[in-house]
Amino acid sequence: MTNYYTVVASFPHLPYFADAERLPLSRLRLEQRLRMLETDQSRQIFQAEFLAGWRLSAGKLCGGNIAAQYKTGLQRISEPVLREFVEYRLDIQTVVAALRIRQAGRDPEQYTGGWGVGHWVKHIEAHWDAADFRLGTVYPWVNEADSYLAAADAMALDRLLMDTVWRKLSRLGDMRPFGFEAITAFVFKWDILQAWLQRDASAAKQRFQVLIEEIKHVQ
Amino acid sequence: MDAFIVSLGWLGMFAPLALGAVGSMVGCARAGMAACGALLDVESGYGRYIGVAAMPSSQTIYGIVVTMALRREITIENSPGIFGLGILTGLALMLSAFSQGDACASAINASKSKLEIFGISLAPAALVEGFAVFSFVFALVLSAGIPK
Repeated sequence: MTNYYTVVASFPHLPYFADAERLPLSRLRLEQRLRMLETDQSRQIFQAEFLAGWRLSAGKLCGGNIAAQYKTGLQRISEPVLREFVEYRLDIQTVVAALRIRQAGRDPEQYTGGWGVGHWVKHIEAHWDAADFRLGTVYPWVNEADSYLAAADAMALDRLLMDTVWRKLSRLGDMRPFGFEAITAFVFKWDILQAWLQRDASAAKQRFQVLIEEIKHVQ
Repeated sequence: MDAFIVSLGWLGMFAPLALGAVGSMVGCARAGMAACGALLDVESGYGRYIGVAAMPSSQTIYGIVVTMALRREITIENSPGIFGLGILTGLALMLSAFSQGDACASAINASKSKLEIFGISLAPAALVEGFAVFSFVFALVLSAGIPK
């Protein structure tokens, strides 16, 4: 088990995302420090970020079957810690997708090519009518997320999910303070922090307009 | 058989120094790597981190002293005693240097973002040092009982 003393010690302390006022490390500096790792390890981190970064990769992936593209992307990650975290993030996305589909009153089977990824898909389909898909013990936040979705409170939902992932990353980083776990935890915490600080109502409005235009254009 | 027992005596005599030095190399390297990482993140106080990284070097000094205390004419009678005392002291020094390197690396990593905890963050490394000192002192005391 390798330790990465120099890389981990070169990272600044990250404050809890909701209390932070600025990013303590720029993207450029983060990438410079990650390049102290072996080339394949830094490539895998960037690949994992592409798949499981907070600001969503679905927009960068194109084509009908996004689930299949995620699976292909996951095959390029061999570091067990990274794989486990990406799978955890995809599981969360799958649960949130299921909540959205159910709130919209749709049937998951109408999505050709699958509506989610990960090992919970069949379980969720089997317990579609249960409020928390019978995942309450694994994901205690499901009911709360459902209520935020029902209230169309996107910000509260985002904060809940960020907090859940942040805690998971804190536990991961504490497992081996100078191991690859600590690097993974830092990179994805940085990603959450950046996403939180980038929230901007006017930019969101512009983005919304762009999406509306895209839909009009397709029609 | 006699030659084998005598060679164990020689092994035991040099073990505290050799194993202590191995421990110091690894410990200083671990803490040193953390110090180099910290230098990228701080704007001042570089010497403080490099100084902390040198803490695990003390085990080599203890090893030198114990080896000197065990130094005598190696015979069939005193070889088992020298071997037991030397190997166990060497192992204790080596493992304490490994652990102290980790403790120093953590202290460097924690204190670079919060300078006021610099002193207290070194307490775990000092505790580890204490155990190395125990094995060092008792090796000196017990070596007096090994026949010359």
